[in-house]
Amino acid sequence: MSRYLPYLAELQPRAFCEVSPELARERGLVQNGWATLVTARSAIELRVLITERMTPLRIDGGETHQVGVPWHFGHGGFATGDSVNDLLSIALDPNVHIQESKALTCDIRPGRTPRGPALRALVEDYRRRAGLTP
Amino acid sequence: MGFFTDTSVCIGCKACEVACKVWNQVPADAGPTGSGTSDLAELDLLGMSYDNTGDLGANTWRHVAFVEAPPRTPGAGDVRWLMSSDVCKHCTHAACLDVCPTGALIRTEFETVYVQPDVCNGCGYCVPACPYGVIDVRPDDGRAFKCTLCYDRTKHGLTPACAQACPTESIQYGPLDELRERADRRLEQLKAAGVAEAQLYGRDPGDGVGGDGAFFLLLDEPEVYGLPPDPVVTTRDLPGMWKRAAAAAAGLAVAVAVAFVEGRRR
Ligand code: SF4
Repeated sequence: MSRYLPYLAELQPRAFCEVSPELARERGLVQNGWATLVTARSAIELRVLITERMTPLRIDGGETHQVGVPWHFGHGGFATGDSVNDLLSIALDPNVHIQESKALTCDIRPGRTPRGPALRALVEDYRRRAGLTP
Repeated sequence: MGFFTDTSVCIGCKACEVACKVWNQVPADAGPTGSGTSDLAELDLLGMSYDNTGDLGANTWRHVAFVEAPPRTPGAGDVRWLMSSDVCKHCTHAACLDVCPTGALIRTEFETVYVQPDVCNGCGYCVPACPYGVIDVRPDDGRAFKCTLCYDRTKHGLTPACAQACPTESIQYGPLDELRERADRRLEQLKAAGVAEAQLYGRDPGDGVGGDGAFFLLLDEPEVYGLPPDPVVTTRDLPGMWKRAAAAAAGLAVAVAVAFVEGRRR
């Protein structure tokens, strides 16, 4: 709804993801540039917001990065962008029938997401390398 | 009457920005600020934290800035996410009002500075006169616009739209002396709590603009928020400049007269 209202659309007009400066450096992401988020389900493209508010987690001596993504965007209205729902499995919470989980593992790479068959090829390649499909 | 904006409690919800636009029917600003485009397909991110408005202008009378400032002691603690709702300062000595040749800019009975849209001819003199860069000309309209301090609401005893919408009472509207007292108390409280950088901005009637009708409590130096640290009414030196010009003109007139008299004698 709020994407269709000009006064709200202008406040946060495009889909974006928040990454730490460390992750941006590691993956070659640039401020306001494009990034592709890939999960086992699909891939979407978002604009990059590099911020010190995101910090890598140190777990078991290793470094784990987080990517923050607001749930809001889609193709309709004035404030547009890829829908993050595309990245999720379609398991629904039995009580409220909304996606059961909105935290998931992903990869992030610079640049826009390929569309059409190229998108499928990209995701399939990830799945195969992750050992999800033979 | 005026505003006290206590940025220490602002949560960055931007309700003030939207309420202002809705009440005052200010158009959405689609392109980069000042471009005047209302084509919403041109909407874009600024890459400045959660701020996609940028600054105040003809189509933005309240602007919520998001500043990601480094921690107080470098390397220790989290980044400080400072939010602050900026607005026209309604200066006591307002340069825009001084330079307006049509009298469109007036001082209202509430001591606020107001542009009468039916008188403004769009000459734009007020734009460079403002020491804060607040007032601007709307390109597709031609006239200058800025915060009216909701003159149409205050006239009827209502609170300005932004202050009414603010859920945290970061924006407070009232008589200036009352607001100043309240601000002083709040500053004391913050200082006692160990917020050493807390400071009032535009509160002092002795400053370069004679004090702001809309003043602020900031959690860092004004520059951090993009505010001029020591604003001065831009027309301050005008009387002196005119005096010098008058002296020069008188000197020239004397020289010309002398030249005529001397020339005739020869
Ligand atoms: S409405 Fe109040 S809390 Fe929300 S952004 Fe404006 S000043 Fe801050």
